[in-house]
Amino acid sequence: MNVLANWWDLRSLANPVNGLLGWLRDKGWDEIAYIVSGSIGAAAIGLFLGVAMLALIWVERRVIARIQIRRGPNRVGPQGLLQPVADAIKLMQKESLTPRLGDKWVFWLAPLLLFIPTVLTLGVVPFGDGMTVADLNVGVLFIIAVGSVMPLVVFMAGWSSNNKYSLLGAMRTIAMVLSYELPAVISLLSVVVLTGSMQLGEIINFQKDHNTWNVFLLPLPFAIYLIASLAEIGRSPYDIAEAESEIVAGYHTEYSGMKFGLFYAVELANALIIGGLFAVFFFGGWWTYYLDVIIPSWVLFFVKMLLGYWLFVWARGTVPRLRIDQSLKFSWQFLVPMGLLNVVLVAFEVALWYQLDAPGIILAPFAVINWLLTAGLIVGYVRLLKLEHTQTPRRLTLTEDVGIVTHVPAPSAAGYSAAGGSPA
Amino acid sequence: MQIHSTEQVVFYLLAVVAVAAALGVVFAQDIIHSALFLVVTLILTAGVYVLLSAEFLSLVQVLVYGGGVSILVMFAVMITRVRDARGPLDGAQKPIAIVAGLAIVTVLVLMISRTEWQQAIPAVNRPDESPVRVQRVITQTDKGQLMSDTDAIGHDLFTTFAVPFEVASLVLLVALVGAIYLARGEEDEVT
Repeated sequence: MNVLANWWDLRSLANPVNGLLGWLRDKGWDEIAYIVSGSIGAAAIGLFLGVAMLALIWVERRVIARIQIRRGPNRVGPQGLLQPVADAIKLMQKESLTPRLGDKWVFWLAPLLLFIPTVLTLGVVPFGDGMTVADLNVGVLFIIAVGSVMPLVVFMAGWSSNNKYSLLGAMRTIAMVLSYELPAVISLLSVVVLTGSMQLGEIINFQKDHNTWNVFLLPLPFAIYLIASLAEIGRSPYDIAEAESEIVAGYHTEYSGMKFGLFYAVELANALIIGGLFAVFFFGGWWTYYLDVIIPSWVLFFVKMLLGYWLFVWARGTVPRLRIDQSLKFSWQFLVPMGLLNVVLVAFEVALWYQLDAPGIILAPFAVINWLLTAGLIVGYVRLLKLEHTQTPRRLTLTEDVGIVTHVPAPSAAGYSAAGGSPA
Repeated sequence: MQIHSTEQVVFYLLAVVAVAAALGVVFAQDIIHSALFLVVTLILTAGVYVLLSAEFLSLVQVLVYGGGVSILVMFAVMITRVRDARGPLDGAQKPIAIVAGLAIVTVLVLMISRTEWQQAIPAVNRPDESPVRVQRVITQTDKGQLMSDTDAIGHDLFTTFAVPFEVASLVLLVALVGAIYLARGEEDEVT
């Protein structure tokens, strides 16, 4: 597993840890080694979450600002780097309100419980070669199962606030998560069928052994998982649960101070984790076509994780919010049947592969077939459902209003341009 | 009570909290609190499955009961508006409920006392390479291959228990169709 298993070889941060544990075990302190390894894992996850939170708030605000053609936070510290710290201090100082007619205990518990699935999921994420806290052999199922507790906590938050907007937001979230959990699970099922394992380490090893990324073999599950995971963590364009123009702020309307901060932090952390899971399931995890010999594997993983996160920020800055009925319909009518068809296809291919006992090169024609069938399925299904293009504003009227000239209008005789100014 | 292993300590911790939560289900004044206590009990049952090295089963327990059933219960409770009815939900069927409860307890106690439990508790074997790695359950197929518990469950479901499996899925399908039929209501209604 390790190229050079010396403790100073930082290409895998597991090496110094293993060195320490090996030293402890040589001394005969097995129990201490057991406790120390657990503590190191927990501390690493805590540290990672803390640092990532601070960094991501800054990245998100700056990137969104760039997309929206404004500057973003740039006063506190160089380039506004200390803005997240200032935000955190501000949140801590704020008064923590509890609705008088709300359910006090449930109201307090919800933001705390919301953190548990996030932290638990990080426990199975392989941050690098041998850098997993617990590489469970049912890792994929673990991620799905732990994530499935999330709507319950959201319900607790929405219900205990004793506020109709909170309750509406919670119900919307639950409807969204229940609808989009299915396509997400089905698309991961394709990955599991192909790689033959639910262990995240084994999924990476499959991609390493066959010199491919899963995204080349499974384009449709990748697309479905991208959309479904966006919806599950409730980020724009799927931030229907907290659509501020409709239901104030959804299930965390009544939360203030650091409790609101926790909801915000969990949303960011979930986006980052989904980025990491993308890397594991579809982009080879820490393995990157021999680059991992030169560059430490954990650096590669972090880069992929942040790219996935950046994709989410990009989507948030550019894609308009969907309506709840549109998004639920899209899941049930389009994503679920597509995903199921793809699972059948992949299962057929894997069965063929085992029957023929063929070498790994057979994956190349499979990839071609999958891409062609994906394109065919999408086009055919859209035709079947008789969905139409809904691009009603044909011209980019908005950019014209702002002043970006897309075409020069012909001079008109009685237009306001002749009058030398626009009528106020 | 003699304590043999760490597993036993963990088991008693889980059991105490699970039983306390189960009592909470019965004695909580607010019905939403009862439902939340029920979720705690169900999730801690998953912890017991982990102790039995049935990882797959425990995660399915969390997925189905922690994620699915609990949400259904919550929705049912919320939509039927029983929240205003605080206080114990006693009714005319209280004596019948007591008798039924006692009958179930009797059956369970008899079953537990008559079962021959495995006496020797296998010692935890700690793998050498990494102490954090979760111990895997290995079962053997008829061909002598080694399988994890996930593989074993899949193997059994599609060979030995294929018919019950199909029957169960048929029952679920019927329930699903029935639910959709009920939810749709009258045909001429505007949806």
